[in-house]
Amino acid sequence: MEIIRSESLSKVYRTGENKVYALNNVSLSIEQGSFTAITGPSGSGKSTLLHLLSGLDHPTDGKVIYQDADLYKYKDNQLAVLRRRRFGFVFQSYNLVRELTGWENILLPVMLDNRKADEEHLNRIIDLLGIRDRLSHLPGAMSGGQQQRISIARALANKPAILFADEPTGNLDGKSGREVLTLLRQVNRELGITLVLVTHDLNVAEQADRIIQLEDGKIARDSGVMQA
Amino acid sequence: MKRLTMNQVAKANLKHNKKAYFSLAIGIFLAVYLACTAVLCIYGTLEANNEKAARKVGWGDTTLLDEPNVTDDQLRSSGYFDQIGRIYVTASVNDSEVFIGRYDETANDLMYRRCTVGRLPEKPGEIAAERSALDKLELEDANVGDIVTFTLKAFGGTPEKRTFTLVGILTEQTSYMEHTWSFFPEGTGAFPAILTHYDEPGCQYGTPVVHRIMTNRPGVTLTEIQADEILYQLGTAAQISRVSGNVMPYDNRVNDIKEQINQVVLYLILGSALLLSTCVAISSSMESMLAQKTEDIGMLRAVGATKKQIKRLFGRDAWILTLTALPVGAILGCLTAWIISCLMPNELIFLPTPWLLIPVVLISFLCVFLSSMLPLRRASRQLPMGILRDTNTLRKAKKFRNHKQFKATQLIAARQFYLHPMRQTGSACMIALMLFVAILLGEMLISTAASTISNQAAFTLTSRQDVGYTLEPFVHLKSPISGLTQNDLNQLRTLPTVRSTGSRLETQALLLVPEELPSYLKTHYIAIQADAHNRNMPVNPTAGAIDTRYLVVEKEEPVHTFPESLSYDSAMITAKQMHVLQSVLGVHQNIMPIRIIVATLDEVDFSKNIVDGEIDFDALDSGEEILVYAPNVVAKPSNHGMLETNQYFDDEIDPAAWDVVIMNDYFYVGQELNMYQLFGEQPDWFDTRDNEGQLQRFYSEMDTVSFSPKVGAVLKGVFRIGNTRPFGMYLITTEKGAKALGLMDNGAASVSIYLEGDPDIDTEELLNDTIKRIGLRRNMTVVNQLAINREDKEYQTRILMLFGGMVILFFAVAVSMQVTNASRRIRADERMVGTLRAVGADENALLSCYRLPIIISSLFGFVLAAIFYLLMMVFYPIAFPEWHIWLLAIVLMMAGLNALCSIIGVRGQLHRVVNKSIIENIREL
Repeated sequence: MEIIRSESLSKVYRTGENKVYALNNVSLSIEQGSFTAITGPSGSGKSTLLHLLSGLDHPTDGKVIYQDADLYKYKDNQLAVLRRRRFGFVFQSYNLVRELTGWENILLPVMLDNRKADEEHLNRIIDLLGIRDRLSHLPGAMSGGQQQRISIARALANKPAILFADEPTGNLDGKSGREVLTLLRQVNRELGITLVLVTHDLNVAEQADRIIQLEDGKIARDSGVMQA
Repeated sequence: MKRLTMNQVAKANLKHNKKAYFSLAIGIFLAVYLACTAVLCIYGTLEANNEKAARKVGWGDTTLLDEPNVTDDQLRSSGYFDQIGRIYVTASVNDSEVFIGRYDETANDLMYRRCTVGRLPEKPGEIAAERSALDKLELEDANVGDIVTFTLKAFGGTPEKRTFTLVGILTEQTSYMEHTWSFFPEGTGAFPAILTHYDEPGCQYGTPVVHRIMTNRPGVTLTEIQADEILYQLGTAAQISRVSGNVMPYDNRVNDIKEQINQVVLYLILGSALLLSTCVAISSSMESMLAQKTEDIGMLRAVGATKKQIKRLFGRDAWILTLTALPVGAILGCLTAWIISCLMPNELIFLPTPWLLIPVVLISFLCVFLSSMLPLRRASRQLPMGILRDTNTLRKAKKFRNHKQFKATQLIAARQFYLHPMRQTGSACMIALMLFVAILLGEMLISTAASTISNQAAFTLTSRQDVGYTLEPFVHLKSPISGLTQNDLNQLRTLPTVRSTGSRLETQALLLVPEELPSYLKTHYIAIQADAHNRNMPVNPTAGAIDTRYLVVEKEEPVHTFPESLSYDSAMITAKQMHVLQSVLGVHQNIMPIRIIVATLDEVDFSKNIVDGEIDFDALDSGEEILVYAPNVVAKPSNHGMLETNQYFDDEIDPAAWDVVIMNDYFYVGQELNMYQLFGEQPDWFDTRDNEGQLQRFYSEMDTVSFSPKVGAVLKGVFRIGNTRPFGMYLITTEKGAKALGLMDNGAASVSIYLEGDPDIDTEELLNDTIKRIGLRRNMTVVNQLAINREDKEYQTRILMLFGGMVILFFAVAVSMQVTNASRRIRADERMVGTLRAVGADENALLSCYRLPIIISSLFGFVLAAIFYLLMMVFYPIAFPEWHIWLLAIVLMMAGLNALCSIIGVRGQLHRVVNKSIIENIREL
């Protein structure tokens, strides 16, 4: 069953007279519960595609349909509610709020939603990610791997329908990268969360159910949906 | 290869980070601007006061009155004086107390005479006169260009007529110069209120009196001059104070300095407060700017920059900004001082002397140096890797605890505030300053309103001389000059808009008191050490008006108990006179003179003063009753070698705080007061006070009345009769009561005139002219309180406008500081904003991140201002007598409004960031 799709999605950057197509007329559909990897060389538009799918950026043209509605027809506040309730996002550079502890960073989307935390769910995630001993530390006192785990926990705190991850292992060493990837795979399998991941590392991509390869802002290859 | 200098790096830094340096530049500019304004205002105030006082008393330091035996050479050789000028008092004019005279060249410079209209005399036959002198001569309509004829009478000479052309109206000076010389015989202590040219020939007969006006050599004081053995005889040398604008027979240097400090203290407080908040603003801007540069500093430290180099590099920016801000700040400071001088022309002279630039530059650089020192020190001490990993945050994080429930954005704001409290201090101080100025403005408005509604007399007439005076302690001798008669009073009462008139006359009666003198009437002594002399100062409830020590003279040991102000011998004579009077009157009780105020009491509010009894006007008018004002008097030595007394208590007296406490234990309601009054004119044959035979005849020939009214009410505390406050103990009755008692009537010595509302200008002019004419008939001074109030009001309005402008200016500065602060932080936190947006924060939630510090700093500013207010009430209760809670409420609302305006400004700034996509927000540069 489809969870999200893009229709003729384009993103153009203008530098003076020149137009640069970061994404050019991309249409695709993501199945619920799937693990999709978007790969491609630098500048191919993979991160742009992920940002547009997750409602973090504005397309120049095209639509992103989630639950039969175009994301970019939503008002700012509606989109904000969608981001905190239905989407989770893991950034390459973690983007934790440095004034908040690990625990508080994890709770951030729940608290922004003025809801009480589902502690059972959070404990499960925390145990799954193995970060219980880092919860009371500020991000500055954590390693990159630990920060990325906290960022994954934050993305999962609100039980999102889709988890978007932009080069989640890009800033990590090989071992930490592998661990994070295993965790994401676990999250996808055990919690049934749709995972859309951007990576330029083919070893990472190979673990996905589906690989979409981008080149010059267009889909060069799509491995199709494989049943897990 | 070309060398890279610190200046080049600093300039490049400034050039490429203009926005980041904007608020620092504003702070530094403010420091220069305020330093310049404060310096010009303080200097201008001092100069204005000097100029104002010089118009009253000239530029001299010492005067020497009518000492023909001392030559100028003797004075010069004493080594105390620089310049010596001569003032010639040629003659009295029209047989009045107005004198005509001339100055030599030095005196001309030193006396600094100026004309309000016209000019000074330039040739013989011309005169310039003070307006009050013309009024006294009944020439109130005289104008410049008029020809006037005077009868001049030189000292020891005969009258001669002379005609002059009036060429100028002089500023008032004589009354200030004559301040202490009223006791001089036949006007030899007078100064000329009418000036002629130096070459004007003197009177044919008689000689002029010559006063000397001198400047002292640097450091010379009047005490030194008076202590000099050769000049010891110069008992009449006195100090001219250009601070108080008066002539004083004693050295008043310490008080002069104190006065001078008082004059500039407002600007000092205001200027220092402004500069302090500017320093905090600079410091906080510097702190924020350096906080944004932590990574740069870390890199510089990593590549080997020393702490000193870091300090120099970033400190150099501040110095360059200071140099740039100097000309603009100085020009705007001059402009502000000029505007203030235009608003308050008498209080401040605009004098942009070039050397004032030195303190301005010094203060500006000191401000920048002090305020940038701490942030630079902190920045330079951070470790290279420590900065990159935000060790500071980590260290402070130990104090954090995890929250299970929290408002995310508010928690972030609170943490930021906790980690970087300095960021908000500048704006909090500015808000505190703005609110404090608003409190001052409020207090001024309250006092202005209070002075408008108070029941003041619109005009007062006061006799220039005593209407009745006492030569001997027991006899009231009739003065040749009478006060206002009933006819005069009736004429005043029929003037338009006059509601009532209150007259006041002080006379003296004799009260029979028991031989065993009641404690309340006794004189107490306080030992005071002043000028290396021990003095026994007498204190009694009559406030020194009547000395009661003669009543106990025969029972006291002589010499020690009687200080120099009343010798034992003198007290013995008074006691002897009393014994003679006792035999003339046929009484055995002690006789004590007591003052009686005869006044219109309709407008007097005694409600807070009645200790016992009640005021029955019928009984007062019929002479059956009389009021006794018997204040409780306290005294102690003051810190300045003077006697400090008080009789104006509403509450209980704390006996422990005073050396002497004199409580009324004698007068009570219903008490019969047996009194006499002896009055008449001084007989020619009476020439000695110590001759029993002469005294017996003198007392027997005086008109004598006796009366025994009962005490209707006993009063204490403070009230006003006319515009006069009570001073010392006395009895009070009405005009009718005085008539019924048979007291001597020589006319009212002081009259207050109350009006129905404020008259229009024409009516006021008519009132002023008529009242002045009536007053002049009786040689009375007329004070037009309406004109004084108007001038006061205009002055107050100017001050209020000034303070109001300051409040608006500070409000705008505080809002702009808050908005600039928050904008800078929004720019620095853009990545965090993007992150929060990515996890679902909407614009309102983001705003709360920046709203909280604004609200906290506004509240902090309010608390600071409230503390200031409290402190002022504790240490300066005269200006801040009452706690006005509603004033605080208004100020709190202003703090709220300030926060609201700032939040609206910040919302605009935030909107610009939120308008970008999240990806643009979180993109690493």
